[in-house]
Amino acid sequence: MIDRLPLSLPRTRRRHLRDRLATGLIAAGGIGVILAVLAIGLFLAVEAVPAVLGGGLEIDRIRTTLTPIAWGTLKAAFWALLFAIPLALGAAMHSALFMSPRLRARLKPTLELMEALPGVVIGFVAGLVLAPWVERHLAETLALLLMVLPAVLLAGALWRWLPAGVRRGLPLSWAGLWLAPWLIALGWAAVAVAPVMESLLFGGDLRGWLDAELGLHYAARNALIVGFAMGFAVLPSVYALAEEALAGVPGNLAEGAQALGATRWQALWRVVLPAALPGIFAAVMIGAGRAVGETMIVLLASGNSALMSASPLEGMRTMAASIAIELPEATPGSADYRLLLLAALALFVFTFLVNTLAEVVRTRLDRRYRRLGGSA
Amino acid sequence: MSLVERLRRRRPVNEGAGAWLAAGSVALSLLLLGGLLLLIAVRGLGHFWPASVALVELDDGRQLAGRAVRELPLPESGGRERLYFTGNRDLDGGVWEWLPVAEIAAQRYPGDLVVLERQRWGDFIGRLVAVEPREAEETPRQSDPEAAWVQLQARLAELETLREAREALERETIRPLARRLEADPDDGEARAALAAATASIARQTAAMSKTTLVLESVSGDRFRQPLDAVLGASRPNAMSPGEKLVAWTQGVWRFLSEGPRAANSAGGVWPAIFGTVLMVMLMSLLVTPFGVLAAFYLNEVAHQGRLTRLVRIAVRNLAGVPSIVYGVFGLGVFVYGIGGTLDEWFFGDSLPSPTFGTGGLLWASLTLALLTLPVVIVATEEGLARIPDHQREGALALGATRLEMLTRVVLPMAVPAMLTGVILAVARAAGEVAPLMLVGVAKLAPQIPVDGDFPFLHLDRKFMHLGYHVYDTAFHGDDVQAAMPLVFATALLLVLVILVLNLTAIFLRHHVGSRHAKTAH
Repeated sequence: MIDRLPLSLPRTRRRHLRDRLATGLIAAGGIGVILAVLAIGLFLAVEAVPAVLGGGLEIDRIRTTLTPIAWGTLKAAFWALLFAIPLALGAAMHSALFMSPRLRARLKPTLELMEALPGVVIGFVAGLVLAPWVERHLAETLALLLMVLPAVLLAGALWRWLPAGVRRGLPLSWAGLWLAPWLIALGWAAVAVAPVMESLLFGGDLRGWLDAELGLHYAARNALIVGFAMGFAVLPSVYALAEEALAGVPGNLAEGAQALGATRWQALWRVVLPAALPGIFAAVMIGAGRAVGETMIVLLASGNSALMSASPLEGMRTMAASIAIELPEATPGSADYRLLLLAALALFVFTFLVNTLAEVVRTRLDRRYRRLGGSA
Repeated sequence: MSLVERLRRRRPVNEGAGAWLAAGSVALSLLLLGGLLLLIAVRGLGHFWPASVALVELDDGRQLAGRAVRELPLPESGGRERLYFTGNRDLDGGVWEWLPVAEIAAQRYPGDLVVLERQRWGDFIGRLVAVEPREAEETPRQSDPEAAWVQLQARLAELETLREAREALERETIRPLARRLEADPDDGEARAALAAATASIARQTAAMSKTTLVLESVSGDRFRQPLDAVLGASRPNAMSPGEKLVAWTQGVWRFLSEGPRAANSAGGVWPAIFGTVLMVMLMSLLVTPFGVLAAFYLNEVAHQGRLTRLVRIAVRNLAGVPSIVYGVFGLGVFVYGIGGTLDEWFFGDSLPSPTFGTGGLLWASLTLALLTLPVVIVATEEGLARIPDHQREGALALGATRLEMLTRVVLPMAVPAMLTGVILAVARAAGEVAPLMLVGVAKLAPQIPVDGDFPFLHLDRKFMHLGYHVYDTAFHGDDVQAAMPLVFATALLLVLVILVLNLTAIFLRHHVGSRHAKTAH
């Protein structure tokens, strides 16, 4: 043993040398890759900022070009979030606390698949199928929108008075599934009733009524369509994060509340939700980041006219869409080019900040859950 | 105790409105998702089904033939009107006809109505009168349509073999000869061979254009149609469901295997499929080693301090940066920066027309690799973090160096996680269109970026992409209405590809989860 040691020494040394070399290479490569990824922000800043500071771009020009598209971006994101957040949070609450584990195990991958649907497909369906349909069937659309809330509440009220046997067959933990046919049926009814309502309330022409009574002009590709489509695209990511936050709340909190006589909903609303609030905030932030940067949906469904209108029934043009349309034609180095890079920089900074905020909040939350879970 | 009270006591606890609204939002989300997928699937696949052609007689005696597309209420009179696809753009200038339902006197489905797919002017819908040689100039006698139909099918089969032979000749003889000539303009032998081949092609083309069809629209217009511009013929009303199924399968196959025609509004999407797959493959070749390297560095080599944590958060956040921003980066750095410099150094003689200084396959793959790098890094890191520390410690305790520990113990255990990351990256890249608009897709790129010319893979070429195809055809086409079914079919294909990739990733992740659960104990 002892006399074999010197023999193996050079081999060991070679092994260690190789190890150090490889580790160095991994480190160098890793750092290089990470720097390359981080270079994006640097590139945009280097290209756009000197032009602004050095007077290459007049402030007036920046203002007149960027204001309408910044407005459009915010407007689109606002309507998208208005649609996505209630739906995503509702779905997250239901699946984290009420849903049967079997259904939940199926639902989560399904919504993950929904997240993977390409924006161009959603945008195409929204812009070329949904928008013309809604334009032709304004009253029906309104009826469908107004129908959803009462329909669900009605289902809840009726459910309590069902015979116990039927009720066992349709438990609340599976309501996410069996409410769907109910909604289809009532949606059908709403569409059937809509023309009658239209002729009774709006003189048979809702669009003309909007124009005459409220002064709202209806454009086929408008903020509501964009909001609906983009909300659909944003929903899964908000849902996933919110659900994670809600399901991560240590179970003993809710159990304690229920032991003290709270219903499941009261326990959720008063105990679990406040505990998970930072996580839900993070989810909303991530959703906002996605909504601001989504390009294809806006391009296909918004009409792309740079309007400064607050009306949800008119279109808009967003920063991302402007970049996609104009940048290929802009000459590198020209003022237009730099303006578009400035818009890209704004998008980058906004999403980066929002995501960082969300990430920090989430890490904090994780630590808090561990403490809460540990102290029990 | 009153009855009502007793009833109420047996009711379950009232969870209140909130619980039901939450359940309702799950149902609504699922409905929306299901509705979207169903719509795309039905409209995308339904397009290839040979729908029956109606012969419509109007009250005023006018006749027309077409496929009913949809029906809408008339805005004024309260009746309904129906949209027909009537084809025959060369006869009446349009392919769509709105007819008030009230004015339709009769609607029949005669079996002798023929639908011809043509290279120019789109579809023809009407009757086949005769098949005859081109020279016959006098108007044909009333011939037997049944015999003409049989004759047409035989001729079409001949035409198909001729077309294939011509394509093979072009591919295998003419192009290599042209290349030889390009390299050496004085090669007399090649020149002679090329001339012979060209003449043979001209002969074949002449043979193909020998026959004309005499066609008659249902309103009685008669005209001649050269057979070589006809791509396919069918009599949908005379087909049995089995034959329709066969026709449907053929339609799907042709959609997948042929190139686009008529400004992308007809034909297939083969170049787009090819371009998407090639781009994604190049991208995964780039992203896998670099992503894994960065993940190994972050998780195994770097000192786990504040800086590493910050870098990790930053990398994660880059996954949330809009894809269009990556496109801007790709355009500014890869295309104009690196590509412009490459052009100046190596392709100076072809300037000012750019070689690499414009969007192309390479830059698109690089941009998407950058875009998906965070996905791979995060997934691989998650896999690495799941490997229990005692595996590493055990290897080190047995005398392995760090490199040996990483390559022989950690890497094999992390492979499923890496695969998951790469598949997710591929799924994301396949659906991204926005950055590609800046760095290199083409509306119509008939040449796929791989061929027999050196260096075989043309990284500088533009390529077609399924997602961009959807966008472009839906947004910039002349007759969007006519192109819609194809857009739906393309969208369906894209969604299917992405769903399959994602399902694979989900399956892999579950597999990984269960395996580590076993090794941890």
